[in-house]
Amino acid sequence: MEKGDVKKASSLMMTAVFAFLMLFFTLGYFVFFPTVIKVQLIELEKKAELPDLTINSVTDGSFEKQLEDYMCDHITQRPFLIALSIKVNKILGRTYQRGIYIADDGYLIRESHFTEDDAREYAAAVSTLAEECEVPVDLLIIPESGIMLRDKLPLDVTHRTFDEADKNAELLAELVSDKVNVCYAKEPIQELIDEGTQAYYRTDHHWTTDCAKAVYEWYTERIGLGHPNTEYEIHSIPDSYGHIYSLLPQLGMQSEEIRYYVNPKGEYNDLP
Amino acid sequence: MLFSSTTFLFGFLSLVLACYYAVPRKFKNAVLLVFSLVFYAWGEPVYVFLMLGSIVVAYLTGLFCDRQKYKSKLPLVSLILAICWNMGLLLFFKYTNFFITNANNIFNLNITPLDLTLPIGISFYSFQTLSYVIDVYRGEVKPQKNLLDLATYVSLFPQLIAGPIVRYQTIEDQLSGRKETLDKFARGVKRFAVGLGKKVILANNIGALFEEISNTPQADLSVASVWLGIIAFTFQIYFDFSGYSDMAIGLGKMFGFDFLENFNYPYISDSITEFWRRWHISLSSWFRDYVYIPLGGNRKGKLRQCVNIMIVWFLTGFWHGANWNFMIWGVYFGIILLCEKLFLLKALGKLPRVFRHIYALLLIVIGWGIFAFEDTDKLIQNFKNMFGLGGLPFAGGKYDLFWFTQNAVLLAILVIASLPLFKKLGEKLTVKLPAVYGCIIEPLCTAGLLIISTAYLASNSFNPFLYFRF
Repeated sequence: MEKGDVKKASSLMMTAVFAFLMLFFTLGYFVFFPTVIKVQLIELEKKAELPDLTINSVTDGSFEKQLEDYMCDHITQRPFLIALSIKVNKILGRTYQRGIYIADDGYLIRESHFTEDDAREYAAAVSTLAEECEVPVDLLIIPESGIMLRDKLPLDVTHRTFDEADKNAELLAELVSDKVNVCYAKEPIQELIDEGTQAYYRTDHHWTTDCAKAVYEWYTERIGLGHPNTEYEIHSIPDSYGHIYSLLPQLGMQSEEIRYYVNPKGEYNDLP
Repeated sequence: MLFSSTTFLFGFLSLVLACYYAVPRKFKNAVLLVFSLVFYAWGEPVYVFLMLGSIVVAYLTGLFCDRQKYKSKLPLVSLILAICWNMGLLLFFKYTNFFITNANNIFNLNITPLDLTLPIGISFYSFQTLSYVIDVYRGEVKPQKNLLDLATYVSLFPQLIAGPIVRYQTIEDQLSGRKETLDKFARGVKRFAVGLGKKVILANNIGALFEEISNTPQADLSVASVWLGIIAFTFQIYFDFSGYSDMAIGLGKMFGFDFLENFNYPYISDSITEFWRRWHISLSSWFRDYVYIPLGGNRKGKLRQCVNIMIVWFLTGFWHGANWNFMIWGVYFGIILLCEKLFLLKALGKLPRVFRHIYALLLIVIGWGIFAFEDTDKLIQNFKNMFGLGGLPFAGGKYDLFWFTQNAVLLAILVIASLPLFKKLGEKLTVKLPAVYGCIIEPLCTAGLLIISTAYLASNSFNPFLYFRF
């Protein structure tokens, strides 16, 4: 190929690529394009609506801002694009994005916001309940995933946030009145983790049902009810993603299986 | 409207390109003018008329500035009118409240500041129209008789709100005689994509670090983290502004225009003199040609040259903003440039290059430390912190390790991207593997940059633009 031809071909290629992308994204506002790469994205906020074009909205600048919000919210392949930006940020070394740590083994761990003030406030509320209640009051404190999964967190320094949360949880336990029976469930959860059972969902801040069951059994023994010897049926919902994933969707992230336990001899209320 | 927005990319740009290439040659400038006015009015629906007023003033004063045609004092009067109009606008909108606030502070007055907003891009288009009229007066260009063409030049959206400051003489022939070619369009696309990536992926990301550090309580900082913050700002301002210039130059090429370069890898400089030949070239050359040289430059003795340099640099700082920190910044560089001119460059020449480079970078970063803080108290505190006088530990601040580890990769990329390595690599590959590089690698990389930049925009990333306020 001659030099001139190569130059022409490369210019043509560049122009074609640009034209394709512009057409694809521009037309995507008017025409539905099927998802190129599937990323599950649960929209937590309402998507922006097309703004009204009025003289006031133009002169005060609100129309322009709302239109930009609308176009960002309705761009074609939006879930993929959001996940792509998160992936690129991760390649740039950002293992902390939007208040969430991208931890090892596919864990997404939300930073802790449990402050000393929160601990004092909860302690006061539970103590008041205990004073006013005629029945014994138990307080079950469940540690956040970041407290129990520190070895998975990306950086040593992040442990400080969860150290504080852990300290505040212990403070809560100390501050409640003597009438309250406090159970801080670190021990059974740590045992579960040591056994290799998944205690927290990778894509959610909640504990797994396995963890809930383990803590339940620990709790019942602790309050003297003995070990519940219920024979459960285990059901599962495959291919699920949790709340934290919806805030920080990851390309290629493995989905989770939600297992739940049903007591075939139990009585359940019908859910609405 | 920002270039780095979905509205611009997939609304405005698609439409203007389609319309531009659909119409015959004689209507192309009109299309550009209409879209440029819409572009400007999008962010300034009221002040667009101010810009139109500036265009009309430039047109009329330009016509009467022709000294070949008018032998009377009319050209001089027209020139003075143009200067008064443009400088008057700039002084009024940009500096009135600065003067009022300072007068109140110094003389204990109680004048209420005016409720003014700075029209977007006024610093750029004022300088542009003024340079046109001055060039006509000097006989360097002929007055533009076609109001539409002049209006197109002034309002051309690629360079309207954030430069580069395009001189009329560089664009005069292109207004009527430019040729849109496939090669130029492709180069424009590549340049635009690079600029968009610099702004959205690099500048915004590192800018978030600077924002975080500067908003962290004093007690949680260390000297190291304060320096990290200023280094972050150093990268942010370069990639933000040069990215925007790249987008402007790229867009210009898409419409057949060739604008001059505005940045030339300024952070590889060995001296501040060299830095200012590589940074915001259109502004420094404007001040050189329209202030320094008319003041006498270096033709009236050493003392006068020193005075001229300080005037130019004070004004350069003044142009950047109505705050004392910008003026201090300008004077800071003025003093360094004077020293370099008088004796320092000679002394530096005896040092190995690496030391010269460290010297330059250190002074540049310190300069940005002045530029970054408009609040005087924060500025003073920042400098105390930087030089260990703020009572901070050298290292071990609450988030130091976190900030360093979260940004280490990005900082490494920013360092590499500040060097002309990719440019040299591209040039080598163009020679060694022209077909593969030109037809596969380059288009793929450009597509990747555009898609990733779109991804960032779509996720409503942190997206300030620093030079917008000028």
